[in-house]
Amino acid sequence: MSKGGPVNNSVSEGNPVAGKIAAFVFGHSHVWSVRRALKLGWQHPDIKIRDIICGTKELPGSIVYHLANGEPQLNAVILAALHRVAAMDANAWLVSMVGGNDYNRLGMFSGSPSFDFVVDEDSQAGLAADAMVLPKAAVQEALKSKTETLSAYFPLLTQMAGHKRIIVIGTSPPNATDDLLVSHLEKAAKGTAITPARVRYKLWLIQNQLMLEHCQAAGIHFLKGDYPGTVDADGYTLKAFMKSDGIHLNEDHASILLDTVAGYIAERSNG
Amino acid sequence: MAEDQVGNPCPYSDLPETSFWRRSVGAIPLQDIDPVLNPKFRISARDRVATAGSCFAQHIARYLRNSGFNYFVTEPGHPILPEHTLKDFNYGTFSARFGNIYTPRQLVQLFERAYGLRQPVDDVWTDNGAFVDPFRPFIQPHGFHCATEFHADRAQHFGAVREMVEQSDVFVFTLGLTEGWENAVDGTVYAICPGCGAGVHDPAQHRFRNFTVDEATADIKAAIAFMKARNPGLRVLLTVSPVPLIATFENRHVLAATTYSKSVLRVAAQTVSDCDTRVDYFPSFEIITSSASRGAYFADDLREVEEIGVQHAMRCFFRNYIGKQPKLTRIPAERTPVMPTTSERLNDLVCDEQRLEDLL
Repeated sequence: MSKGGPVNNSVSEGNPVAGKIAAFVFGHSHVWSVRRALKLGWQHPDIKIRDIICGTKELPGSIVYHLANGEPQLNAVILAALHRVAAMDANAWLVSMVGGNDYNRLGMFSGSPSFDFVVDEDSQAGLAADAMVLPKAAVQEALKSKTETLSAYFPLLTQMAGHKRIIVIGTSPPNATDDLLVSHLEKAAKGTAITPARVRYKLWLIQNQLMLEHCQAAGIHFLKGDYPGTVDADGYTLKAFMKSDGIHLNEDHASILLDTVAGYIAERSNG
Repeated sequence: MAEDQVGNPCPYSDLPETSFWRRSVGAIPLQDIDPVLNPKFRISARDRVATAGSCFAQHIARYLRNSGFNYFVTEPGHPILPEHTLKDFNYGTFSARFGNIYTPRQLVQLFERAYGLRQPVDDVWTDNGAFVDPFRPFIQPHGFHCATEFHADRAQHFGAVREMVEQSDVFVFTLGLTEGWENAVDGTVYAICPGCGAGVHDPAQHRFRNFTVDEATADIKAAIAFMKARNPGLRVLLTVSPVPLIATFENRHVLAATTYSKSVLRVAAQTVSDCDTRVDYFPSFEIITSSASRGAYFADDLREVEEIGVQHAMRCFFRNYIGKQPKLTRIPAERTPVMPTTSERLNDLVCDEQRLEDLL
């Protein structure tokens, strides 16, 4: 990885750099930091990465629709982007950052009472005394409902992309403290209890497992979001990589993410 | 002689119509039959009504909930869990997450366990790495994934049972069976026969019991006394499930075994009710099973109760104990608006705000 002067990475700016393997990133709000890292000059000697869809408004609606006959169909924005990519470089890699925030959508705010669950046998000490204990399987089922679209999305992605050079990026674990979230959502979430980071971390673990299972079923690559150097000894994302909202990651984190993605692609391309 | 007859009329002649079969059953439309007479108490919309017992108790819970009554659920699950998950994991099926309680002995022992007065020798089963509660073996799919989860959930469950015991205004208990299986060492009654769907059957450990009318009566009395000792104002409504035995372990025909079992429970319920002004018997069993319905209230398997039969029973329940009619229509699920949760709403807000930072 190297950081040079600003480089224009917009997909509309032309064809991939000759001699480099192309990869295109798309997704919702977490792609903003990727775009910023690219604009700040992230580069790799062998891999050229660009973003093609970035933001919730640029990728509106469900990622999968169902036609009147029940047949699933990719979101039109993704579909159009994939066609553009295929026209430019049929061998390009696709990097999906879609659908990683479901665990926060499920349980970032727990209300009263708060909840907790046992992820594994060793985590008993982590159960909050005043929290409602939920069966892990119930939480899994709830999260599975939230990520149900992904079970249709991933196969459609491989089908439309026409190849298996697809990497799904899992979201990164939460930060160990709640202060960023609390200060950011002070007004919007007034009176609403934020789920402790320890519990959100457990939700994140389950989310990753579900994402991994979806990807394995579709035969596509999955990269877990706890890259070395970005998390503390307990697995939480370091505060230095968090944005002020307490949820999204900054461009420094995105830079490491891009390094990881590029390394992953390079390894498989050389082999 | 004629004067004597005038002076000593037949003692039945002044009895109300409800005392006569033809006038109150045989010659009136089925849907108008109401066998409830002089209910001992009323249930207000504010009363916390708890339910426990066999499957039929779930119908009472459902109607109370759908009719805006204060169905008292002390173990409701968490709002982050969607409706189908709550259902799959038996949250709200009964007031606490105890599953079906078929025999009065089970109820007494549940209370004892919840208050630390009974520690069963056979307290947890394992099955392919999962931990199964012998006293609610089907409370969630595939059991508990580890011992920590099992014990944490058990402790929480007992807390919910204690809350139900101490804070209910009305407790509706549906008596289901007299046949059961107990541990041969300490007499703790299982929810099912071990080995039938869960657990492993061991003839040396697991003993069949068919509770007598005296035992059933004593157990019901003990359960109510246990609750009243902690909740003196409690009112209790006993019902007998009309659902026949699915199988009997007695060496007798299942039809005869069903009649015996329901008869014992019916007598026990009446006996307890007759000696306590705050305990009443509600005849849902009679409404569903009487010859007046000509079997119309049972499904094709002659075992499951059809909704029309439940409706009849609940009309009588609401008329006599509540004074209004239940809501018999439900809003189709697909028409129920799905409101975003706080987590969904605020996460969307956070995501939308991301664009504001893209000022590079």
